[in-house]
Amino acid sequence: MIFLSFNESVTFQYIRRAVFGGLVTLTEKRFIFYSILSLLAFTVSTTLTVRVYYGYTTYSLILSNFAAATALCMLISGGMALILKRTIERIVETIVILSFLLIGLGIYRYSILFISIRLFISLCFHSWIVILNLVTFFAIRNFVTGRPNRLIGFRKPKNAILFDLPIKIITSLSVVGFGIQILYLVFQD
Amino acid sequence: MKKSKNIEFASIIGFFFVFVAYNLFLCIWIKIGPGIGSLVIDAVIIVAATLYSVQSICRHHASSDEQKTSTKKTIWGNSAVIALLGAALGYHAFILNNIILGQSSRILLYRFHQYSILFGAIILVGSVILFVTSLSFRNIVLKRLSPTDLIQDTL
Repeated sequence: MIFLSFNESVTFQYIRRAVFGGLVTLTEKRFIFYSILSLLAFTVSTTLTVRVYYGYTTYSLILSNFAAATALCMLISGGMALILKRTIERIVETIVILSFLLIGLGIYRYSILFISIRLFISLCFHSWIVILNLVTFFAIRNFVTGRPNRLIGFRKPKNAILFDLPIKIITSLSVVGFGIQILYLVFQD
Repeated sequence: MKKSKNIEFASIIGFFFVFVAYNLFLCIWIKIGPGIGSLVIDAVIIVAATLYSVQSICRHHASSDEQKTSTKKTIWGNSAVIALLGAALGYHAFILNNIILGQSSRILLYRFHQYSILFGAIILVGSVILFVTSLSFRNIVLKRLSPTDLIQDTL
Protein backbone atom coordinates (compact mmCIF):
# COMPACT_ATOMS: atom_id res chain seq x y z
CA MET A 1 0.00 0.00 0.00
CA ILE A 2 1.46 3.32 -1.04
CA PHE A 3 1.65 5.77 1.82
CA LEU A 4 -0.43 8.88 1.18
CA SER A 5 -0.73 11.95 3.33
CA PHE A 6 -4.18 13.20 4.33
CA ASN A 7 -4.44 15.75 1.51
CA GLU A 8 -3.08 13.32 -1.09
CA SER A 9 -5.51 10.60 -0.06
CA VAL A 10 -8.45 13.07 -0.11
CA THR A 11 -7.44 14.20 -3.62
CA PHE A 12 -6.99 10.61 -4.78
CA GLN A 13 -10.40 9.54 -3.40
CA TYR A 14 -12.08 12.57 -4.99
CA ILE A 15 -10.63 11.86 -8.44
CA ARG A 16 -11.35 8.12 -8.12
CA ARG A 17 -14.97 8.77 -7.16
CA ALA A 18 -15.44 11.30 -9.98
CA VAL A 19 -13.96 9.05 -12.68
CA PHE A 20 -15.53 5.78 -11.52
CA GLY A 21 -18.87 7.49 -10.78
CA GLY A 22 -18.92 8.81 -14.35
CA LEU A 23 -17.98 5.40 -15.74
CA VAL A 24 -20.67 3.61 -13.71
CA THR A 25 -23.31 6.04 -14.97
CA LEU A 26 -22.19 5.64 -18.56
CA THR A 27 -22.30 1.83 -18.34
CA GLU A 28 -25.91 1.86 -17.15
CA LYS A 29 -28.31 0.21 -19.56
CA ARG A 30 -29.72 3.44 -20.96
CA PHE A 31 -26.29 4.90 -21.73
CA ILE A 32 -24.65 1.82 -23.26
CA PHE A 33 -26.06 2.70 -26.69
CA TYR A 34 -24.58 6.20 -26.56
CA SER A 35 -21.25 4.99 -25.15
CA ILE A 36 -20.86 2.44 -27.96
CA LEU A 37 -21.84 5.04 -30.55
CA SER A 38 -19.37 7.65 -29.35
CA LEU A 39 -16.55 5.15 -28.75
CA LEU A 40 -17.07 3.73 -32.23
CA ALA A 41 -16.91 7.19 -33.77
CA PHE A 42 -13.79 8.06 -31.72
CA THR A 43 -12.02 4.81 -32.65
CA VAL A 44 -12.89 4.84 -36.36
CA SER A 45 -12.02 8.50 -36.85
CA THR A 46 -8.77 8.25 -34.87
CA THR A 47 -7.68 5.13 -36.77
CA LEU A 48 -8.40 6.80 -40.07
CA THR A 49 -6.55 9.96 -39.03
CA VAL A 50 -3.45 7.81 -38.71
CA ARG A 51 -4.14 6.21 -42.07
CA VAL A 52 -4.45 9.61 -43.75
CA TYR A 53 -0.67 9.69 -44.00
CA TYR A 54 -0.92 6.66 -46.29
CA GLY A 55 -3.21 8.38 -48.80
CA TYR A 56 -6.77 7.68 -47.63
CA THR A 57 -7.68 11.37 -47.36
CA THR A 58 -11.19 11.28 -48.83
CA TYR A 59 -12.41 8.34 -46.76
CA SER A 60 -10.88 9.84 -43.60
CA LEU A 61 -12.64 13.13 -44.18
CA ILE A 62 -16.01 11.44 -44.77
CA LEU A 63 -15.65 9.27 -41.68
CA SER A 64 -14.46 12.12 -39.46
CA ASN A 65 -17.56 13.95 -40.68
CA PHE A 66 -19.64 10.96 -39.57
CA ALA A 67 -18.13 11.47 -36.09
CA ALA A 68 -19.14 15.12 -36.30
CA ALA A 69 -22.62 14.11 -37.52
CA THR A 70 -22.95 11.76 -34.52
CA ALA A 71 -21.99 14.62 -32.22
CA LEU A 72 -24.52 16.87 -33.94
CA CYS A 73 -27.29 14.24 -33.51
CA MET A 74 -26.47 13.78 -29.84
CA LEU A 75 -26.33 17.49 -29.10
CA ILE A 76 -29.55 18.30 -31.00
CA SER A 77 -31.48 15.35 -29.53
CA GLY A 78 -30.20 16.19 -26.02
CA GLY A 79 -31.24 19.81 -26.52
CA MET A 80 -34.62 18.81 -27.99
CA ALA A 81 -35.28 16.42 -25.12
CA LEU A 82 -34.48 19.23 -22.68
CA ILE A 83 -36.86 21.61 -24.40
CA LEU A 84 -39.63 19.15 -25.30
CA LYS A 85 -39.25 17.02 -22.10
CA ARG A 86 -39.39 13.66 -23.88
CA THR A 87 -38.42 10.18 -22.68
CA ILE A 88 -35.23 8.25 -23.53
CA GLU A 89 -37.02 6.10 -26.17
CA ARG A 90 -38.14 9.25 -27.95
CA ILE A 91 -34.56 10.56 -27.77
CA VAL A 92 -33.32 7.41 -29.56
CA GLU A 93 -36.02 7.86 -32.21
CA THR A 94 -34.96 11.49 -32.66
CA ILE A 95 -31.31 10.45 -33.09
CA VAL A 96 -32.23 7.85 -35.75
CA ILE A 97 -34.43 10.33 -37.66
CA LEU A 98 -31.74 13.04 -37.52
CA SER A 99 -29.09 10.56 -38.74
CA PHE A 100 -31.23 9.67 -41.78
CA LEU A 101 -31.83 13.36 -42.48
CA LEU A 102 -28.09 14.10 -42.37
CA ILE A 103 -27.21 11.09 -44.55
CA GLY A 104 -29.93 12.17 -47.01
CA LEU A 105 -28.54 15.70 -47.08
CA GLY A 106 -25.03 14.30 -47.66
CA ILE A 107 -26.23 12.19 -50.61
CA TYR A 108 -28.11 15.16 -52.11
CA ARG A 109 -25.22 17.62 -51.83
CA TYR A 110 -22.13 16.79 -49.85
CA SER A 111 -20.85 20.41 -49.76
CA ILE A 112 -23.94 21.63 -47.81
CA LEU A 113 -23.38 18.91 -45.22
CA PHE A 114 -19.66 19.61 -45.12
CA ILE A 115 -20.02 23.38 -44.54
CA SER A 116 -22.72 23.00 -41.87
CA ILE A 117 -20.72 20.31 -40.06
CA ARG A 118 -17.58 22.47 -40.15
CA LEU A 119 -19.55 25.32 -38.60
CA PHE A 120 -21.01 23.03 -35.96
CA ILE A 121 -17.73 21.45 -34.87
CA SER A 122 -16.07 24.87 -34.77
CA LEU A 123 -18.85 25.91 -32.38
CA CYS A 124 -18.20 22.73 -30.34
CA PHE A 125 -14.49 23.55 -30.13
CA HIS A 126 -15.19 26.97 -28.64
CA SER A 127 -18.04 25.86 -26.39
CA TRP A 128 -15.88 23.01 -25.06
CA ILE A 129 -13.38 25.59 -23.78
CA VAL A 130 -16.19 27.27 -21.84
CA ILE A 131 -17.48 23.90 -20.53
CA LEU A 132 -13.99 22.76 -19.47
CA ASN A 133 -13.30 25.99 -17.55
CA LEU A 134 -16.67 25.96 -15.80
CA VAL A 135 -16.40 22.24 -14.95
CA THR A 136 -12.92 22.85 -13.48
CA PHE A 137 -14.16 25.80 -11.42
CA PHE A 138 -17.11 23.84 -10.00
CA ALA A 139 -14.98 20.73 -9.40
CA ILE A 140 -12.59 22.87 -7.31
CA ARG A 141 -15.57 24.43 -5.51
CA ASN A 142 -16.98 20.98 -4.65
CA PHE A 143 -13.55 19.78 -3.56
CA VAL A 144 -12.85 22.75 -1.27
CA THR A 145 -16.34 23.28 0.19
CA GLY A 146 -16.90 19.54 0.64
CA ARG A 147 -14.24 19.53 3.36
CA PRO A 148 -14.62 22.76 5.33
CA ASN A 149 -11.61 23.45 7.55
CA ARG A 150 -10.22 19.99 6.86
CA LEU A 151 -8.39 20.57 3.62
CA ILE A 152 -6.81 23.86 4.59
CA GLY A 153 -6.90 23.19 8.33
CA PHE A 154 -5.18 19.75 8.29
CA ARG A 155 -7.93 18.03 10.32
CA LYS A 156 -7.98 20.63 13.10
CA PRO A 157 -10.45 23.48 12.47
CA LYS A 158 -8.64 25.78 14.89
CA ASN A 159 -5.49 25.48 12.76
CA ALA A 160 -7.30 27.00 9.80
CA ILE A 161 -6.10 30.46 10.85
CA LEU A 162 -2.50 29.23 10.63
CA PHE A 163 -3.12 28.55 6.96
CA ASP A 164 -4.42 32.04 6.40
CA LEU A 165 -0.96 33.21 5.28
CA PRO A 166 -0.37 30.49 2.63
CA ILE A 167 -3.84 31.16 1.21
CA LYS A 168 -3.03 34.88 1.04
CA ILE A 169 0.22 34.05 -0.76
CA ILE A 170 -1.65 31.85 -3.27
CA THR A 171 -4.21 34.63 -3.87
CA SER A 172 -1.47 37.26 -4.29
CA LEU A 173 0.28 34.97 -6.79
CA SER A 174 -3.05 34.65 -8.63
CA VAL A 175 -3.25 38.42 -8.94
CA VAL A 176 0.39 38.66 -10.14
CA GLY A 177 -0.14 35.75 -12.55
CA PHE A 178 -3.28 37.34 -13.91
CA GLY A 179 -1.34 40.57 -14.54
CA ILE A 180 1.31 38.59 -16.44
CA GLN A 181 -1.43 36.94 -18.51
CA ILE A 182 -2.94 40.29 -19.46
CA LEU A 183 0.48 41.65 -20.44
CA TYR A 184 1.22 38.47 -22.40
CA LEU A 185 -2.10 38.62 -24.29
CA VAL A 186 -1.63 42.33 -25.07
CA PHE A 187 2.02 42.20 -26.15
CA GLN A 188 2.31 38.67 -27.60
CA ASP A 189 2.36 39.80 -31.23
CA MET B 1 -17.21 32.07 10.45
CA LYS B 2 -17.23 34.79 7.79
CA LYS B 3 -13.43 34.73 7.68
CA SER B 4 -13.34 30.96 7.09
CA LYS B 5 -15.81 31.34 4.19
CA ASN B 6 -13.55 34.00 2.68
CA ILE B 7 -10.61 31.61 3.06
CA GLU B 8 -12.63 28.92 1.24
CA PHE B 9 -13.32 31.30 -1.63
CA ALA B 10 -9.66 32.39 -1.72
CA SER B 11 -8.54 28.77 -1.92
CA ILE B 12 -11.05 28.07 -4.75
CA ILE B 13 -9.61 31.02 -6.68
CA GLY B 14 -6.05 29.95 -5.83
CA PHE B 15 -6.60 26.38 -7.08
CA PHE B 16 -8.37 27.60 -10.21
CA PHE B 17 -5.39 29.83 -10.94
CA VAL B 18 -3.21 26.69 -11.07
CA PHE B 19 -5.39 25.45 -13.95
CA VAL B 20 -5.12 28.83 -15.73
CA ALA B 21 -1.36 28.90 -15.11
CA TYR B 22 -1.09 25.41 -16.68
CA ASN B 23 -2.78 26.80 -19.82
CA LEU B 24 -0.50 29.83 -19.76
CA PHE B 25 2.58 27.63 -19.46
CA LEU B 26 1.50 25.49 -22.43
CA CYS B 27 0.61 28.58 -24.46
CA ILE B 28 4.09 30.07 -23.99
CA TRP B 29 5.71 26.66 -24.51
CA ILE B 30 3.93 26.15 -27.84
CA LYS B 31 4.79 29.71 -28.96
CA ILE B 32 8.49 29.84 -28.07
CA GLY B 33 9.49 26.29 -27.17
CA PRO B 34 10.34 23.37 -29.39
CA GLY B 35 7.40 21.26 -28.20
CA ILE B 36 3.77 21.38 -29.28
CA GLY B 37 2.24 20.23 -25.99
CA SER B 38 0.64 16.85 -25.79
CA LEU B 39 -2.51 15.67 -27.56
CA VAL B 40 -2.53 12.68 -25.19
CA ILE B 41 -2.76 14.90 -22.08
CA ASP B 42 -5.43 16.91 -23.87
CA ALA B 43 -7.45 13.73 -24.55
CA VAL B 44 -7.06 12.59 -20.92
CA ILE B 45 -8.37 15.98 -19.71
CA ILE B 46 -11.37 15.70 -22.09
CA VAL B 47 -12.23 12.21 -20.80
CA ALA B 48 -11.80 13.20 -17.13
CA ALA B 49 -13.87 16.40 -17.52
CA THR B 50 -16.63 14.52 -19.37
CA LEU B 51 -16.78 11.73 -16.76
CA TYR B 52 -16.78 14.22 -13.91
CA SER B 53 -19.58 16.24 -15.52
CA VAL B 54 -21.65 13.10 -16.18
CA GLN B 55 -21.20 12.02 -12.57
CA SER B 56 -22.13 15.42 -11.12
CA ILE B 57 -25.19 15.81 -13.39
CA CYS B 58 -26.46 12.33 -12.44
CA ARG B 59 -25.66 12.76 -8.73
CA HIS B 60 -27.56 16.04 -8.69
CA HIS B 61 -30.56 14.55 -10.45
CA ALA B 62 -30.51 11.46 -8.16
CA SER B 63 -30.52 13.63 -5.04
CA SER B 64 -33.34 15.72 -6.53
CA ASP B 65 -35.31 12.52 -7.16
CA GLU B 66 -35.00 11.54 -3.52
CA GLN B 67 -36.58 14.81 -2.49
CA LYS B 68 -39.37 14.82 -5.05
CA THR B 69 -40.06 12.12 -7.64
CA SER B 70 -40.51 14.17 -10.76
CA THR B 71 -40.03 12.86 -14.33
CA LYS B 72 -39.05 16.39 -15.34
CA LYS B 73 -35.81 16.06 -13.32
CA THR B 74 -35.00 12.61 -14.82
CA ILE B 75 -35.38 13.92 -18.35
CA TRP B 76 -33.20 16.91 -17.49
CA GLY B 77 -30.37 14.61 -16.28
CA ASN B 78 -30.46 12.22 -19.27
CA SER B 79 -30.71 14.99 -21.85
CA ALA B 80 -27.90 17.00 -20.27
CA VAL B 81 -25.60 13.95 -20.32
CA ILE B 82 -26.36 13.26 -23.99
CA ALA B 83 -25.81 16.90 -24.94
CA LEU B 84 -22.52 16.93 -22.99
CA LEU B 85 -21.28 13.79 -24.79
CA GLY B 86 -22.22 15.45 -28.07
CA ALA B 87 -20.16 18.56 -27.24
CA ALA B 88 -17.13 16.44 -26.26
CA LEU B 89 -17.39 14.38 -29.45
CA GLY B 90 -17.79 17.57 -31.50
CA TYR B 91 -14.58 18.98 -30.03
CA HIS B 92 -12.72 15.77 -30.85
CA ALA B 93 -14.14 15.80 -34.40
CA PHE B 94 -12.96 19.40 -34.89
CA ILE B 95 -9.39 18.47 -33.95
CA LEU B 96 -9.45 15.42 -36.25
CA ASN B 97 -11.02 17.31 -39.12
CA ASN B 98 -8.40 20.05 -38.94
CA ILE B 99 -5.53 17.57 -38.80
CA ILE B 100 -6.95 15.72 -41.81
CA LEU B 101 -7.31 18.99 -43.75
CA GLY B 102 -3.63 19.66 -43.11
CA GLN B 103 -3.75 22.33 -40.40
CA SER B 104 -0.95 21.97 -37.88
CA SER B 105 -1.95 20.66 -34.45
CA ARG B 106 0.46 23.29 -33.04
CA ILE B 107 -1.84 26.13 -34.17
CA LEU B 108 -4.94 24.35 -32.87
CA LEU B 109 -3.45 23.66 -29.45
CA TYR B 110 -2.14 27.21 -29.23
CA ARG B 111 -5.60 28.60 -30.01
CA PHE B 112 -7.22 26.22 -27.50
CA HIS B 113 -4.93 27.25 -24.64
CA GLN B 114 -5.12 30.95 -25.59
CA TYR B 115 -8.94 30.94 -25.43
CA SER B 116 -8.78 28.93 -22.20
CA ILE B 117 -6.60 31.61 -20.58
CA LEU B 118 -8.97 34.32 -21.75
CA PHE B 119 -12.07 32.57 -20.43
CA GLY B 120 -10.27 31.50 -17.23
CA ALA B 121 -9.29 35.14 -16.61
CA ILE B 122 -12.92 36.19 -17.13
CA ILE B 123 -14.00 33.57 -14.55
CA LEU B 124 -11.31 34.73 -12.09
CA VAL B 125 -12.20 38.43 -12.28
CA GLY B 126 -15.95 37.82 -12.64
CA SER B 127 -16.13 35.51 -9.64
CA VAL B 128 -14.26 37.98 -7.40
CA ILE B 129 -16.58 40.84 -8.43
CA LEU B 130 -19.71 38.68 -8.07
CA PHE B 131 -18.56 37.27 -4.72
CA VAL B 132 -18.37 40.81 -3.33
CA THR B 133 -21.57 42.12 -4.93
CA SER B 134 -24.03 39.21 -5.32
CA LEU B 135 -25.58 37.16 -2.50
CA SER B 136 -26.87 34.45 -4.91
CA PHE B 137 -23.39 33.92 -6.34
CA ARG B 138 -21.92 33.74 -2.82
CA ASN B 139 -24.46 31.01 -2.01
CA ILE B 140 -23.54 29.11 -5.19
CA VAL B 141 -19.78 29.33 -4.58
CA LEU B 142 -20.08 28.28 -0.95
CA LYS B 143 -22.33 25.38 -2.01
CA ARG B 144 -25.49 26.49 -0.26
CA LEU B 145 -27.20 26.53 -3.65
CA SER B 146 -26.51 24.73 -6.96
CA PRO B 147 -26.53 26.65 -10.30
CA THR B 148 -29.33 24.42 -11.65
CA ASP B 149 -31.51 25.19 -8.60
CA LEU B 150 -31.02 28.87 -9.25
CA ILE B 151 -31.91 28.50 -12.98
CA GLN B 152 -35.00 26.39 -12.18
CA ASP B 153 -36.11 28.87 -9.50
CA THR B 154 -35.66 31.78 -11.91
CA LEU B 155 -37.62 30.01 -14.67
